[in-house]
Amino acid sequence: MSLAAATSAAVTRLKVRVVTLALLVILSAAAAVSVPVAGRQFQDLPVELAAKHVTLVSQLGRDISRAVEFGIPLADMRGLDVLLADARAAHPEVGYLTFVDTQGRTRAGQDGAPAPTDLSGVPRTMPGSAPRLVELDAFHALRLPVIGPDGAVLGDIHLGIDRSHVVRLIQDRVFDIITVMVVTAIIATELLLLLLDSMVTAPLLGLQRWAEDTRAGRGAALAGAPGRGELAAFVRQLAGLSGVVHGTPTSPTAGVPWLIMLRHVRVALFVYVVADTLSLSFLPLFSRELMSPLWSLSEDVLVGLPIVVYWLMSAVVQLPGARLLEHMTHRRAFVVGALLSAVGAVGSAMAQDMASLLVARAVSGIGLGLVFMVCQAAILTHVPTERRTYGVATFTGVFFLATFSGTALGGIAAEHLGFRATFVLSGGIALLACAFAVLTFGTSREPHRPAVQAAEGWAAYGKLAVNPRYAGLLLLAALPNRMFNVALVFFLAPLYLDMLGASKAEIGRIVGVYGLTMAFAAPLIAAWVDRRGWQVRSVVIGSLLCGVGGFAVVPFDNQWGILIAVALMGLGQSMSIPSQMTLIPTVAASNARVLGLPRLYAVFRAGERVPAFLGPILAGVLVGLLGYGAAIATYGAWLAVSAILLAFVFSASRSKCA
Amino acid sequence: MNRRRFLGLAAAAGLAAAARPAWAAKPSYRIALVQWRGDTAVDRGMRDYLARAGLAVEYTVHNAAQDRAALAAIVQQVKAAQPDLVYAFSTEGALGVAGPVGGDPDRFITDIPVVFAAVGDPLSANIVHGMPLSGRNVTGVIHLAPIAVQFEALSSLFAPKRLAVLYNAAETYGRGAVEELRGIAQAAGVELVVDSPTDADGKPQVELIGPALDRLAAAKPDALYLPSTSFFIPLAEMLTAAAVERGLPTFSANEPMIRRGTAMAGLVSSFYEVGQFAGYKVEQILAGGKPAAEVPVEALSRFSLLINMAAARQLAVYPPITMLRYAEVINGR
Repeated sequence: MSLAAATSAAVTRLKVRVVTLALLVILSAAAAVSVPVAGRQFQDLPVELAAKHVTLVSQLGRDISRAVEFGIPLADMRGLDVLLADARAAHPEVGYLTFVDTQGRTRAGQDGAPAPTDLSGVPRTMPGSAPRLVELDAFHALRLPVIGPDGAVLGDIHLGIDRSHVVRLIQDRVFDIITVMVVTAIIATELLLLLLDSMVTAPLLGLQRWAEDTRAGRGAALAGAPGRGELAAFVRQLAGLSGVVHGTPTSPTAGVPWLIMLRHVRVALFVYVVADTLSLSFLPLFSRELMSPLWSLSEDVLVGLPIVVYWLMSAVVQLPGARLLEHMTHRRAFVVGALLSAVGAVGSAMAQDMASLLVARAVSGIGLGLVFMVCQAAILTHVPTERRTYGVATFTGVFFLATFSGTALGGIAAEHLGFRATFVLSGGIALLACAFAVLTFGTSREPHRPAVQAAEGWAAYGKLAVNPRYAGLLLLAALPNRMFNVALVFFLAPLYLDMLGASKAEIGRIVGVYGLTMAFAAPLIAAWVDRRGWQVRSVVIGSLLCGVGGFAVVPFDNQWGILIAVALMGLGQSMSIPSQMTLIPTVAASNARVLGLPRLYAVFRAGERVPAFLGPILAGVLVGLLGYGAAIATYGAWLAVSAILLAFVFSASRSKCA
Repeated sequence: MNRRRFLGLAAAAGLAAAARPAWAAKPSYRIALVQWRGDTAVDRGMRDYLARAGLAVEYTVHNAAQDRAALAAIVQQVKAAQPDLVYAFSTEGALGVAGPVGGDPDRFITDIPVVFAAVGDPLSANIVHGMPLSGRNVTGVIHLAPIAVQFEALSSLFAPKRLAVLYNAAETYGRGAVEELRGIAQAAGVELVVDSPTDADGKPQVELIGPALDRLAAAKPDALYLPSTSFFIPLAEMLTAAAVERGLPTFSANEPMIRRGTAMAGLVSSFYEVGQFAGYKVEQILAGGKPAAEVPVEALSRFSLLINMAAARQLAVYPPITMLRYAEVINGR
């Protein structure tokens, strides 16, 4: 084993051990606290709910008593059924709610779930005393007397809390706890890896480079080590000593290794995306709050407009953004993008109507487009060619991890702080990302190229358009993948699952499988693809997997079919998307010499993202013509055929080159 | 003007009056106060509002005593006195003073701003060109809930299959209300039985109320509806007692029928608050310098559902328990 490989393996082992140990401690401690809390919910929640229902029933009792006081005989009392039905409708956990008079006749409330036939054994909860709850059939049963104006008992109101509803409530709380634990684990992992890379990996890589140079006879002095902390200081002292011994001047610091730069980009991107996705879960609700007539658009269209504007701006900014990248460092471009997002977030917090919210979301969208672009460019600049797929997969993975974390945290923050304060928090975290980038991004930049004349530029873009492999990659892989992705994850799956009777939480979990698969599978698959150099195969097989997933709804026309389609899309795109990005410099090398890599990427990203909005529209048309299952399968077929055609394009162009 | 601002100002007016220094110069305004059937809670509400707002007003009161000929004479007196503003109560009062749209300027007041109050439907009565701006030197306050909303409340209360209506066919508003009600009832599948205590000359007569109620009761309706009319209000006790005698649960558009009489329920505006709102419009014109044509004709935004439980007990017809949650109950015990 080479020294580099040995060092890399040792560092990886160390990181795995430290992170595993830390996560074990964190998660065990969290579980030790959470599991008993969750368990106690089964005893506490029905009592907690009962306390609320005692108030409800007492109010209903007062209504009946007041009517009697006004001189309405119980036998002639109208509207009791409506009174009880309204109360039940406002409390979905209430299975039955009936009024039984002193003769044991049910006077009202028989239109709910069938109450147990014999309610006489349910003990009375007297006014002012603790609720006396008993389990009866499928309910937690409660009974309160209705006291008349003269103090006599007029009858009893019986209320049954549906036990399955209580279980669902507890499940939701448990999922909330698990979500917070997972987010905590993700953030802890990111911080630990940053610390380890900065304090251990960086100095060790400096030592490794010196050892390799010494072994190869390329000089004897140890360069100053990058990184922070005691180990880095020790290596720097060693470097000074080595300089004295060998009489060779040493540079104060060596360049930052690509692994460390990748970590810096990853952390900056993670923090930024967490900030940006804090509002993801409540943006439609916030839009509804600010609903005001605009351009005669319908309410349904208006609610979705801030999201559409945001994504559209992030796509549209790609081309002008590519030119911007040639004029500033990665650090400055990231700061501009993140600052725009912060301004957009604060603008959203201050928005008083739909028009101002749209402007604020457009500014945030421009920020997002710039940050994405600069992070991809920085990764491609720092990461060696043979590890680019891994670099891009890191980008994809961290995006989904941060989206998951940001969305979950945003939901919690919005519940406690409100929508507007959460937007302000989002702006603050985006500024943190700025500060981190300023401290760690260094001075890397894209090569500056002389201005291209308009005519020359158009000719260059023309050549790019007829480059069969670049065009094939865009039109047969990126575009159909993106359109199917947007159509399935944001449109077809949620609506179809809803039609199949899935709850909102179930829909969220099934759709969330896509992001989680991408987050965890993309870096693992990419490392494997890099080692073998199988980028083209990875793109083709990934697209095929997405296509095959679309067909899963044919034999399984139920929730499982959707789950398989979503999971295979996550797996397929984990293979396909990072490799697409890695292939661009290779398949369009001659075009890159004229236009520069940033423009090639910008055209590619704009080409796949701008038409992505057609995904749901096409899906809507297909659903209207064929139904949900067939619409998903049709998209699957499109992906599969595109993958086969792409394989043919690459195979043909290789033969031509040969 | 909006109603919310009015409510705020109504509350602030009292404070403002208390804080005003005694030496502050107060322009004095002259208002001709034209009554249709003597002093009412509406007129008092208007006067109280202006007093609390700190306006020094000199009133000249003219009572038409429900006589149209008297109104013509009042118009000539007002024209001669040239007050700053004319206030008119009820549809008859407003029509008699300001005249219908396009009325003869010699017979009606057109050059002095007119503020009316307690008019049911100024558009149907042809007092205004349009709503909310009248299009002439007139503005005012509507005191009634829309007929459709009243019908909805009445239906929730009585669920009628057949509804009797006693109205004053001599009044413009009464005729318009019955016409509107016919359309609404037909759409809801409710049969309407209509009668009016008017004589051969088309004039309403008190002694004809009993026979009209008898004819209506003979049709065995589920409830009786009394549209707004100035003619019935002074007769509230007698009229509603006669209805109860005949076993007719009554729903009225006017507050006094329920508070003073034994009408069982009604969706009404408080007459006093209607007057206060009219007072605010007077203030806008006199102190604010706004032309009457630019002050919108409006109703109060809230109506109260009044239920008279004494009548309900007498008739053994009870409101649904859900309605008791939001209704104002009179004679609960």
